[in-house]
Amino acid sequence: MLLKLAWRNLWRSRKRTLITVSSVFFAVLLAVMAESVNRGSHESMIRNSVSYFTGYLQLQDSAYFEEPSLDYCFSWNEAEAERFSLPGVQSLIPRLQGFVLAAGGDRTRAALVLGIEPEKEQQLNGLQDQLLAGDFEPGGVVLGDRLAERLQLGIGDSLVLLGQGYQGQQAAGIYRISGLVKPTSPELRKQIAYLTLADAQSLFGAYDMVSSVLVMPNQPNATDKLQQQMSDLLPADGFVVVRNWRELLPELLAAIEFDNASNRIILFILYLVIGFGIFGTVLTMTLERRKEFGVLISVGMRRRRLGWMALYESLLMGCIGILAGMAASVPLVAWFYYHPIPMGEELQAISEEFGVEPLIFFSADPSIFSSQALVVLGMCLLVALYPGYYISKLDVLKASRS
Amino acid sequence: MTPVLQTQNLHKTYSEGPVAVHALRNINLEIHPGEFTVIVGPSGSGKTTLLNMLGGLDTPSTGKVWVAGTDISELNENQLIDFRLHHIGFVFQAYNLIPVLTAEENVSFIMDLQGRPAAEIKARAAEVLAEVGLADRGKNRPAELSGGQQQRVAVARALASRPQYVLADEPTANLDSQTAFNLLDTMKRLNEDEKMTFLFSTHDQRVIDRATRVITLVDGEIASDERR
Ligand SMILES: Nc1ncnc2c1ncn2[C@@H]1O[C@H](COP(=O)(O)OP(=O)(O)O)[C@@H](O)[C@H]1O
Repeated sequence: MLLKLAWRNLWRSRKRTLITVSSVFFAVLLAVMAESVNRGSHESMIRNSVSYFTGYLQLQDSAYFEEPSLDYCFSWNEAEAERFSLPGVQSLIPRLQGFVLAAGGDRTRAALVLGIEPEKEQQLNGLQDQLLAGDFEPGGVVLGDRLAERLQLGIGDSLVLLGQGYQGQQAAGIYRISGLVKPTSPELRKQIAYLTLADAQSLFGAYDMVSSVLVMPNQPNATDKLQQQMSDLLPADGFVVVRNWRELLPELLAAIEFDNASNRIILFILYLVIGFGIFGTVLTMTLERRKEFGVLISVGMRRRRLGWMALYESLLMGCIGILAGMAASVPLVAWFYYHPIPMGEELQAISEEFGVEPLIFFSADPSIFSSQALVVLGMCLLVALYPGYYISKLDVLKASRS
Repeated sequence: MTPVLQTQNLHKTYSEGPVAVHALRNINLEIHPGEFTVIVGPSGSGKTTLLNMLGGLDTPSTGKVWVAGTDISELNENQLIDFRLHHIGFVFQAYNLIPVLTAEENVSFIMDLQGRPAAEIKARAAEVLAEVGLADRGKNRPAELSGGQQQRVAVARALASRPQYVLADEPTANLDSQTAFNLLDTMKRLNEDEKMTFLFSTHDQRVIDRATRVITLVDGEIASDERR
């Protein structure tokens, strides 16, 4: 009966209730979309960094993270790969990397040599799709497009790589340029020189060794469990450790957290505004019914029940707004999740500069919806404290005769 | 016959202002089942104050109010609310009804709060609505009814749950004379048919003419009490 009363009371002033409900509706819609874009961009940043640079997990020497030197590489072979191919692992991607000087003709540039297994990288990040020309092949080197430009070299030209190998050895080799790539990261475009893993190992004299093994889990959210399982496989007194992307990308994590904090402030202001909107409506609904409340208590309705009625009223308004907001935002988010919005041309240039895809991504994480719903409901509860207080303090005699 | 309502040395003093106001002094009353009593007196004589005491809406400064064997001056706020719900019917001057409920739902309201079975409530609501002559207006909301019809719905609501007695605070104050007449007729009939005890405060001579008992208050004291 209380619910029925509350429901009907809401529609006493249809216009007022509709305005309030639609303010909740738009706030929920706005908040969900904002949060979805926010998380979507983070998810895509993580996805990018993880697939190009770190993997969700990474096997590496315990000292490598502090000092990424060739001296901290470790042995990796078929047997090891077999051992770490746990059920939750999608792929293990070994890499060997070191800095060298790349010389061709009369120009010399610093380059980052990355020894890779091209098919595995393809699975991980579609590396082969970034080829502008040529291909990966044994004895060949694939250069970042900007690096090739700076060296004024093209496919078919020879390139000399010079540097220091494993444990101070001399590293030197001559390679034919077999392809050019355009990675999304502008840094890589200026620096990268891909060799096959075997070629890199012989260049650096680090036979059967790798700097890191990237681990891609079948399910990214099961990463932490997998990390545990893999650590259990490692000897406790060994040098190799498993690190997760949060440890490997602390700057990214910090940037995301900063972003989240500023987003939360905006959401907070948004909620404050609609909170006051609901409060205003509840306030007028309360004050204009002073006499009615007085009569109801006089004829035998306990104050507590009246308080519940007022609570239902504000919750109902909130719920209608939330449900309508969800009904509108779920399909919108779902659509944009599968169809990210391309950025405008200016932004495209900027995003290229920063090495992110020129798309606005949306996240479809269900917690986005539930958290908005909870916030609005919490607000309605808070707002309902006022009529509750008002009713508990109401002077029945004065109210019912005023 | 045991009285439905009895007061003993009832006093009410308001001491909020600069001087204490003795709104009621030494009221001793017995109301018997089936009586149609009016309380009259000049403005400020204490009619409203007395009705508040008899309705359990306010507590006396000293003295006792017995209703059906309970001293309601001893009850706390929630006990009083529940007591009113189960034992006393109310009709106010105006705005008695809940605007968002239909006439039928308004009549059912008290019984709903009492937690009676739905079937019983429905039957009784229909019965009293018919008794006040509004059998066909059950689905209308108060705004769709005239002032007199609204007051009849209020009367129906007050007695639907068969309280000990119905208190009516100037129920005809806002009605034109023909409408007031009809309402009084209805109440008088219910008084006779349902043996319902009514207690009014009023200035209205038409109400006084129909009463079986007239209590006159002057300066918070009973100046006369005549049965007829
Ligand atoms: N809440 C109150 N505080 C102070 N004095 C009051 C209050 N209510 C009523 N009175 C006083 O008590 C006396 C009786 O008032 P009331 O019962 O309203 O009389 P009536 O209904 O006969 O006009 C009046 O003098 C009035 O001023």
